[in-house]
Amino acid sequence: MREPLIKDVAIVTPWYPTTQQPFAGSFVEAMVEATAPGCDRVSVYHCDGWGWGNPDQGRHSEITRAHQRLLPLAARPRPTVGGAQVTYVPAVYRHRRGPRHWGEQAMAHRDCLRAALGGRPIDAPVIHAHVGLRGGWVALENARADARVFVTEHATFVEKVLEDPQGRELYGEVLERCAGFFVVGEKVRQPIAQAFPQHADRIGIIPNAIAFGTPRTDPVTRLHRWLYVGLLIERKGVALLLDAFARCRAEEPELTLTVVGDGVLRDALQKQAAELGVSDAVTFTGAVTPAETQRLMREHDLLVHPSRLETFGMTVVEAIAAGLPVLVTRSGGPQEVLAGIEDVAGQLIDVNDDPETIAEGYRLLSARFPHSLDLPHARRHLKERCGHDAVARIHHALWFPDRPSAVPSHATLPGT
Amino acid sequence: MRVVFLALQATRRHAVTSESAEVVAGGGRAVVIVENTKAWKEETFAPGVEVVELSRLELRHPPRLLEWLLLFRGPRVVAALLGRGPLRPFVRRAERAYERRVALPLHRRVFTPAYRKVCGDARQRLIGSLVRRSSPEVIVLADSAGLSYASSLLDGASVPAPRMAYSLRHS
Repeated sequence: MREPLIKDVAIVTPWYPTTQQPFAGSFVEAMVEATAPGCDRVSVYHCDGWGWGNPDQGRHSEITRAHQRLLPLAARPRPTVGGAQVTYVPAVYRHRRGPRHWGEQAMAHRDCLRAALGGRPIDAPVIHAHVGLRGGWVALENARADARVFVTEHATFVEKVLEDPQGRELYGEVLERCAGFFVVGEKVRQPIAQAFPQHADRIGIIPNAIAFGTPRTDPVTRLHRWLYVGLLIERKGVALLLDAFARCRAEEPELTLTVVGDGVLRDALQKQAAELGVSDAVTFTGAVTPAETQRLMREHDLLVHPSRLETFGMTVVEAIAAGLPVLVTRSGGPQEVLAGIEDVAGQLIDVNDDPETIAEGYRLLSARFPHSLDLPHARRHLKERCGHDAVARIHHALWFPDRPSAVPSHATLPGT
Repeated sequence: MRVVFLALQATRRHAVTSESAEVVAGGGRAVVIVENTKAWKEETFAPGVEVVELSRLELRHPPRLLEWLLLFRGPRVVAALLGRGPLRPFVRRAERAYERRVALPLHRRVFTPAYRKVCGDARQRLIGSLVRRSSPEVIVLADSAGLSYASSLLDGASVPAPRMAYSLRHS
């Protein structure tokens, strides 16, 4: 008979990097990479939403039946980071007009994971799920009776989930039933605490895991090579960045900007760069691998992150980890993560629709660069909070309470 | 390695193009079955990847060809004849509205169920014969539209049956 594994953990997530979306859910992958080495077994269940549209509406039950039959055969694990295994589980559901039906989608995720498991519960005493419904609720519904389920919410769109009546009801269940509930920042915590005030004190804060690899060998000596890393979508404020860049470049012609990432606005942003007359100074690289992003961070002088809303701000921490100063909006997560080191890590600016705010932020930062910055200190500070070791310690203390290890003081563990 | 990608819905194009390229680069054979190539026009398949357009193959079956001529091809020819000069934008709009509101619903709700009833599932047979000809080791199920066909392939599968997977990485 197989000896029970002592440190056996399952992760349930709707986001994880795939060939289709190589960068989606990289924060979950980072968490697995940080925590798996301290465990005997980590099994990741990546339940990816596969919606189908109008042409197949009439075939709903036929597709569902076929999928239930195929899942136990086709959902196979493969090795992933940190010695863990990941099983890809497509969750099929119908696309419907109007607002998303989060509750309905969570049910599709639950049924598909159950079918992939052959109707048996997840064979692990500890489950950590990412996002409330399509992770947390799905994990609770598939957990074995003695399992403890922890949930981390990351989603910027959690308010939309709570607007769906069924989604809200299931979310309440998650808070009621889970062993511990976490968010990555105050921006995510607020709407959940407002919707469920009776559970507000159960919501803890846990940071994302960031790899603090080798920092750049030569420190930044000037702020000429700007870098943006992220999706090219409205919420990220890249159009404002281009405008601000053009203004600053009119004053300092040696400035350049590299835009890393892809999204629906790419063509429009390229057009805007041409209209602003800065095409020759702006490079659009498209989406690149995390390793390539790290390399680019070491080759640039300043990360500009003009996002309107961030739950955590991983890119900002990654930039500081790479030894890069940051010019970043007070968009939620970043000001929480940089609390206490704002002035030594770079410059925080307000979120508004005026590109001059970004340009002025750059001028202010330039004026006090490099004498009032202390990037090695900022890096050390963040490493103690978000480095792999720190994040692993927090998770292991939750998962294996009878094997205590020191929990970093900044993590807010809820009453479980 | 011989791999068939069942990618009728074209929702995971990037995964299909890169994984099929990987198969060919490794000296294998990759056959990608798509509904129509129009949905893939912004993607580039690696040289050596065989792309099979299911809707085109289906037209080899006389009842299906007749339906396509009557519902789609015929009206398009008439529209092309009428829609010249200043009438062109109006006729184009009418043609699109006709296809959306009349031809496609008729195709989905009337013709397809009747066709299936009379002729059986010709599409299933077509996919089955394509798969048998390719004798794949792995069938990659790339989207939800192909799931029911893939499930039926298990019924008549040779021994050993090809492995089913949702991506090459997980095969």
